[in-house]
Amino acid sequence: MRFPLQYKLGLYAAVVSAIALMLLPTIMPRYIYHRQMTELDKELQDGTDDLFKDLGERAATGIAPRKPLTRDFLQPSLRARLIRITNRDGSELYRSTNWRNFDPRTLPVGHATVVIQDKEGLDRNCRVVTESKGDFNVSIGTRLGTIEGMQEDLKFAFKVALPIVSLLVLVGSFLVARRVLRPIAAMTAAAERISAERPSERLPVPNTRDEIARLSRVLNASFDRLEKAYSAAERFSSAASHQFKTPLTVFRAGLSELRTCDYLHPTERETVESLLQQTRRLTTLCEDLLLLAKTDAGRLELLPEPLDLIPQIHRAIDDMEVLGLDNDITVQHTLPDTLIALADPRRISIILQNLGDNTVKYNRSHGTIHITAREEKDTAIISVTSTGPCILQQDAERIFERFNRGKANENVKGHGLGLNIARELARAHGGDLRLARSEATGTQFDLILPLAKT
Amino acid sequence: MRILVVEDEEKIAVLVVRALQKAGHQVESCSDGAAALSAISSNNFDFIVLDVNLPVMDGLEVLKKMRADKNHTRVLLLTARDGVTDRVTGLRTGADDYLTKPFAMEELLARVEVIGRRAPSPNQGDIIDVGDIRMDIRKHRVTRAGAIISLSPREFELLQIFLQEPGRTFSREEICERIWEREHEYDTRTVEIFVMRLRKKLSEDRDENIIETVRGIGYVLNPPAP
Repeated sequence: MRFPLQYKLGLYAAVVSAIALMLLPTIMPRYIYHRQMTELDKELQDGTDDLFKDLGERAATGIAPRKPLTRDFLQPSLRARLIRITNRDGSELYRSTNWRNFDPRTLPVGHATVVIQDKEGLDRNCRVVTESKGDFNVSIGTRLGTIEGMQEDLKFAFKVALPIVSLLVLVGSFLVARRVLRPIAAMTAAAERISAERPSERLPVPNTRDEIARLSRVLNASFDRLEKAYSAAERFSSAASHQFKTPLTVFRAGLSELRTCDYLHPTERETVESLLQQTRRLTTLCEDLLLLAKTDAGRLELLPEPLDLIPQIHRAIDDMEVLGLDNDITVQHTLPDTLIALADPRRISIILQNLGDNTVKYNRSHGTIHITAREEKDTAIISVTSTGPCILQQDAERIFERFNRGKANENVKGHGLGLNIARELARAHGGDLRLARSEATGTQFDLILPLAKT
Repeated sequence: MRILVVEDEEKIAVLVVRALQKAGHQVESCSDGAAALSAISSNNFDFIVLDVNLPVMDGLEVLKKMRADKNHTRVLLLTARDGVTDRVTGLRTGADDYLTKPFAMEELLARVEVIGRRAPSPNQGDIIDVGDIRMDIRKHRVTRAGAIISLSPREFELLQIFLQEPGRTFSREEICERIWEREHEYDTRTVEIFVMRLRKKLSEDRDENIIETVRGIGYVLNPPAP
């Protein structure tokens, strides 16, 4: 989660509104320009119509048609316009002074936009209508100043508005997004609380009937199903525990009773002994599976206490030395005097036993095992380095999988749960078990446990 | 002793009852919590072997009611090995000891003996003296006739088991279970090696058989002369 959703929403909204604001100034001024020009043309048209009417009336009064006209002849509304009136034969009856050096004879019939200088000598765009009716030819024009000014104003307004509106949209949509997303933050917090330890907790369903409320309900239904599955798994494991243990107890008691019988032949006694041992291996396997079922359900009971790991490690070293006798394995150690972790002693001894067994099992003849322990930040780290076979990078995780027993040594004893259990137990403590490195010079496992707070 | 066995699994109950009878006890049994309570209130037992998982009323409940009635009969709880909380609450509720299922029958018998005849108390203190061997559990030190014997942690634990009940025969698997939380595949052989090493360290040059191998069963510590 590099950028929270609310920032993203704010940013997206701002970008969208900026694009919209950039599109608007290319469309809107053109439309307005077009509308205004149409209106202007109509106004000029009205002017020519009036002028033709006046000219017709004047002709009717019998004044010599060739006599030039004065400014007074024009209606007041037309006096500021560009005006030119000619006879059919081309002689000019009237020409307003504001044409200046422009030659109106070049004007085409109908509407035209031309450039005419003003009295300061600046070029101005002007709109002119030229029309012939009866004996007269009339041109009426006006400057486009107002319309062009409006275009300029519009463009300027958009330029100013773009950043301001974008910023407003950015902030606004950020605030809106935060408000809308608030229930999601609450949901996330609740979902984090729902765990194996507290499976009956549920997400808050907001009172809004919207998508978020629906999502909460859907997720809650999933959590219901998960909880059912969890408790079913737990019921199964405790039921299985009872079901397995009873026959195992009967087996053991019966076999040990049988073993004390005086009339047994030595070979029979040996058979009974080996059956007893198998019964106990079955017991161990059964206990391991139940332990894993519990860790999977997150229902492992831990009784952590401040525990000095060093005596525990010495016990494990003791075991490794004896287990390694057959293969002449040397166990060395470099340990501090004390290392107090927050841990459950029974579980720690299982972790160390499993790790030790594994290290001896996968070691070579005349190999070595080196054990060190140290504090690092808030953790205790126990490193077990052995001269076992090199574990390839791609197998680094596989060795922790259940019932995995390394292909290099097919005849290795055990059922392949040791490292998995050790890792699960370490993680249940808030620690971990990792393969730190595996090279020709040695394979190192790191057991990480939380230090006890002093 | 008059012993009551409360166990709902008939097959286990039969074996336990038979073993206890063989050991010379007077044994009665019942298979649920309510029946156990009525049997306890109407009889005067010296000892009760009580399973935690029982129908009608579980073992811890029976124990609680018993202790509330000021009945102080010694109780050995049978629990599941992974039932840590059962064990802790069991001892808190007033059980004298617990045994995890599946248990070795010899161990059950031994516990019954030890707890049943609490006086003279077994060697449970910080310092245990057996003959000329002295074990200081707190200081983690063992001496024989005054001379310090340096033991590895497992050798120490092994000796502690022997010293707490000298003269009792321990099977290899009972030793295994008491020393190792999880048995490894090499178990009984590992015990043999540790016993061998311990024997050597204890005896040094003495001509004696302090830890004797009982063929087909296990080991026993013969208390040396003081």
